[in-house]
Parts: sequence; C-alpha cells; structure tokens
Amino acid sequence: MDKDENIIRLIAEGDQQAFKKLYDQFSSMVFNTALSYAQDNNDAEEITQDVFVSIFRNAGKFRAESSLTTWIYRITVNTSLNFIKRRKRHSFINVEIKKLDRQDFDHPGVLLENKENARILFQLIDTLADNQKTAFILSYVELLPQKEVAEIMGTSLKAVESLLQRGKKKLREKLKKNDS
Amino acid sequence: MNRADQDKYTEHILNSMQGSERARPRPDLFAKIENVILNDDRKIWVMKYWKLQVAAAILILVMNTTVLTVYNQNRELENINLSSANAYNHELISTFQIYE
Repeated sequence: MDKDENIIRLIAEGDQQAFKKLYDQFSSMVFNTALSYAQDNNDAEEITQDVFVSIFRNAGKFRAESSLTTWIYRITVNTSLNFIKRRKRHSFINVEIKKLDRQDFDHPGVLLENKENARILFQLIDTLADNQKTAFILSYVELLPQKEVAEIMGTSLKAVESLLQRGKKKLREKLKKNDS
Repeated sequence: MNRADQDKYTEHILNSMQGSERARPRPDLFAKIENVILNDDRKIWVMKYWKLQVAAAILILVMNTTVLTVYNQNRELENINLSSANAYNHELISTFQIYE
C-alpha cells in the first residue's frame, strides 16, 4: 500500500490527524484552484470547505486508479463548477455586483510585473465555457502539463489542446477588440 | 498591433501566472471544516438512529403509563381499605354504648 492509499485509508477510518495532514498538504492547491474559478476569497474558502468535507466523507470510495492529487483536483473542479452554477442561479443581483468586483480580480500570489496581464487572463477565464475554463485554469494558473490536465478532466490530450486553442482564439479576439 | 506583437502579447498574458505563489486560505479554515464535519456527523447520527429514538420514546411512555396505572390501582385499593376500616370503626364506636 503506497503513501496516498494509506493516508486515505486512515481518513476513511475517521483519523483526524491524517485528515489534518492531508489538509496541510493540499489546502493551497484546492484554494488556489477554487479562487481561479470563483475569483472571490470568501467563495473560494466555501468551495475549499466543501471539497475537504467531501474528501472526508468519500475517502472510502478512493480507488488508486488515479493519483491522490488527480482525485482531489477532480473534486475541486466539480465542486467549483457546481458552486458557480449555484451562485448564478440563486442570486442574480449579487452576481451582477460580484461580477463588477471580479473585473478587477487580482490573484494574491502573482508577481508585481505580471499583475496587469494576470488580470486580463482572469477576465478571459471568467468568460469561458466550463470545459475551456477548466483547461485554462489547470494549464495556465496551476501550470500542470497537458497530459495531467487531460487525466483530471477525463478526456484526451487532443481534446485539451483543442480547448486551449479555442480559448487562445477568444483571447486574441478580445485583444483585437480592445486594440481597435 | 501587428500579428506578431499580438501573439507575443497573448503569450505574455497566458504565462502571467508563471513564478507566482499559490494563494492560501485563512488559517482558521481547518477548524471550520472540522466543525462542519462534526455537526454533519451529529445530523447523520440523528437521522440514522431515529427508529431507536422512537422506540425509546415509546418505552418511556409505556413505563410512565404502567407506573401511573399501578399507582392509581394502589390508591383505589387504599381508599377501599380505608373506607371499610372507617365503616368498621364507625360500627364499633356506634355499637359500643359503654355510657348508656
């Protein structure tokens, strides 16, 4: 039994210490991904909370067919997309207000010299369809290799390349519009 | 902006998160998550053992009813005994005409 399986088995048995260890190891990964989707600190924390509660509840269902990182990324992506859908459905007016805030979303970890470009990247991400959004976040924010992105999304490498190409095209069009 | 410049700019934007640090949640988030799990566990326990709780409530009700019934029966019996004793005493006194 490898390390990943062992920690998950302990969590499935209700071991709080193992759960804390897993949280310490993955919380920034989960929060950073959630923040890229939600573009709001409070919402990202809510998603992170839902993800870890889900991990605790479903630890027994983890099969070592994929790595623990891939499994947690999948839960994070699904939880984030569901959260965004729920947010859109339930509070139309609030979303409009939040949308205005998100126009100026600054990722807290970005280098100062990249701040302006990162802001444009997140504005673009916010306009993409779910699949493109996920491919973009995992590739350009989480900086994962395309093979891993494909594994997390449960799709082929070609499909991920195609999603990224379409996203890039959208970005070029957006820049063209801004230029003219 | 020509095509080459635009491509370069696009690449700059796409690579703008290179070298950045991951954002971290507030330090108290783990305690919050633990609380949610604990509260959920309580709810699950309540849901899971509702039959047991109903059975316990019925048992308490039956026990209370039995105790009350037995208590009432005993009181009635006591009353009967008391009234018959009173009657006997009364008879005894009324027939005991010592000063007549």
